[in-house]
Amino acid sequence: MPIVRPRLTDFHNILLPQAQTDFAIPFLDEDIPLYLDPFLLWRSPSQQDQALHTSLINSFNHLGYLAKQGREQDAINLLIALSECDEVGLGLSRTRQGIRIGAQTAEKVLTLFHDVPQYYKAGFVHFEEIQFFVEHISKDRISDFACSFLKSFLIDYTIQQCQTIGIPMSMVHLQVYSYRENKLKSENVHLPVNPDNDKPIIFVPKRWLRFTPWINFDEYFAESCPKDAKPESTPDERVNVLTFNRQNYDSVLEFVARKERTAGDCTNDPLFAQIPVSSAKTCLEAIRSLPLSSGPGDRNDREYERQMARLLASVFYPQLDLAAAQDRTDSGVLIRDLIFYNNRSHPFLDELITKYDCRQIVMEMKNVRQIDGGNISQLNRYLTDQLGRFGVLLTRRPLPARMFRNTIDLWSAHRRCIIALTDEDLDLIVNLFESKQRDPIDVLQKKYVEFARACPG
Amino acid sequence: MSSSPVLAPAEERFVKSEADVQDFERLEQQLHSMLTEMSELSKKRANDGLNKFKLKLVNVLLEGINKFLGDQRPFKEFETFDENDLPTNSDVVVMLSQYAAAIFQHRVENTEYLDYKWWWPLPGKQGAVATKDPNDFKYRGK
Repeated sequence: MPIVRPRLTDFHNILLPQAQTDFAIPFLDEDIPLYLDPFLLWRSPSQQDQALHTSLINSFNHLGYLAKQGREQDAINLLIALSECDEVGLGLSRTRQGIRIGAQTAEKVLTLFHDVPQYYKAGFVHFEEIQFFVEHISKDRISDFACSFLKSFLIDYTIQQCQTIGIPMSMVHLQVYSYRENKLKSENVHLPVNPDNDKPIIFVPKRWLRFTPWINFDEYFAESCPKDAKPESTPDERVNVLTFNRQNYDSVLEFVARKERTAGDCTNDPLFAQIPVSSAKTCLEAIRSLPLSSGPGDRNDREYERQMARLLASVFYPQLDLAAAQDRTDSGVLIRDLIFYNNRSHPFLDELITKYDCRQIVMEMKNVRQIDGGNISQLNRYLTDQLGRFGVLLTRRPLPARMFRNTIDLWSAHRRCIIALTDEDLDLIVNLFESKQRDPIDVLQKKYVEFARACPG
Repeated sequence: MSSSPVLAPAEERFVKSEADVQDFERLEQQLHSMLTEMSELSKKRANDGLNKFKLKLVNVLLEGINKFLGDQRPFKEFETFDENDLPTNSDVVVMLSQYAAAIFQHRVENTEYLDYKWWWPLPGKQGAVATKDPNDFKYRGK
């Protein structure tokens, strides 16, 4: 069984926590749910980022120049080709594959250079504005355009990062936008590849990523769009607003000027944000007050699993990155697990790799009155060579002496380690999360040490 | 005025030189101030884990005192805290209180009252080092 939600670094056995890398670590079989926001380059204090934004805007405005020169078809072809950048793997795709825009949409983008006098004269300053005028252009498309225009820089950045942390690269063939010639050129470069399909992978710095662009249509529509542009709520509401904006550029200009004034508030979004201490305490209270399961399908089980996922993903960060909260079925029983990447970022985690080949930590959630032999067997069966031989049972009460003995026997016979985290341990975890005196992951280590002391020899 | 209790036999005494006396009295004062600080912490957050820096200092202190107490330490099974056990503030206070009592008892058993003064008698012909009434060194908290 392969590891769950593999990342490029995991595949190459480079155990790095996301918090320690400058780039968003790509998943091998799905996209990272963030987008490159060109505004972050514009507002960056770094001269390099500002220069890249300038080149990005110049390249985009060159499309208008082509259109004015009567080379509209060239501009349309270029715009279509640049409308998808699968190599970066940003967005919501489950397959790391996107779909390019159609000729009609590309044409509509180009007409902006004719229809809006300001763009005709001076071009764009923030090309994100196209989402205010053209249907089917949203945050993912803006991100893709930006990545395509900046691909040459991103390739260099990726090579540099790969050399630093030791990710192997292969020769690949790519279409790269040439800033000097303003066209796509074929290039052979060294890049990391997806081991599943040999497609190249490009990294994006975390400092450029946001969940939604700073200049976005939804905020404009909700807060700044004049009332007469949206007379009534209809299915064509968005189209009405887009048409209105073409004739009334001032309202867009005003919105963008306001966003520029508040640029100081624009920061990148982290890939994962911990819940605050108060929320962790609320989670703990909710868990502690939950009744024990009355049988399969009990809704309290779902609530327990939901709260545990929320709490543990936060308290164990940054030492452990949550890979997934997954469902699986074993002997007809639905099981909910939390899977964490083992990044070797703590001496204890390093020991788990060395002794148990534990590349991912499986935590099985059980809101039951008492753990029985069946529960331990279920987890034991799941501890494969790929995941490693270390697992955690998240349960409400301490293991009965007989079951604890059972886990010791498992260790004696197969060198497999199963420990239990109970409500009492959660108390201590949340205490440490609040006081910051020790890392909450030390509680996991404490339980492991207690287990190891009980093992024979 | 206090009276001198029966002294521990010379071979069982760990205070054997003037330097030992200075070490003992330093560790005794450090124990008292550590216990005071930890008690304050424990009043605020009894079940909080002690951070590694403080725990290291507590262990260094206990190691020093253990050298003087030998088998007279409060619990034979306990020497220092294991950081993997995640000791809480209240755990540390409980143990330091035991040590405060043991170190007081050690002073009582190893000092004598002579010529209206308290002394640490030293083995051989080294003489003795002046000190004060052991009751002045009893930990009383804040």
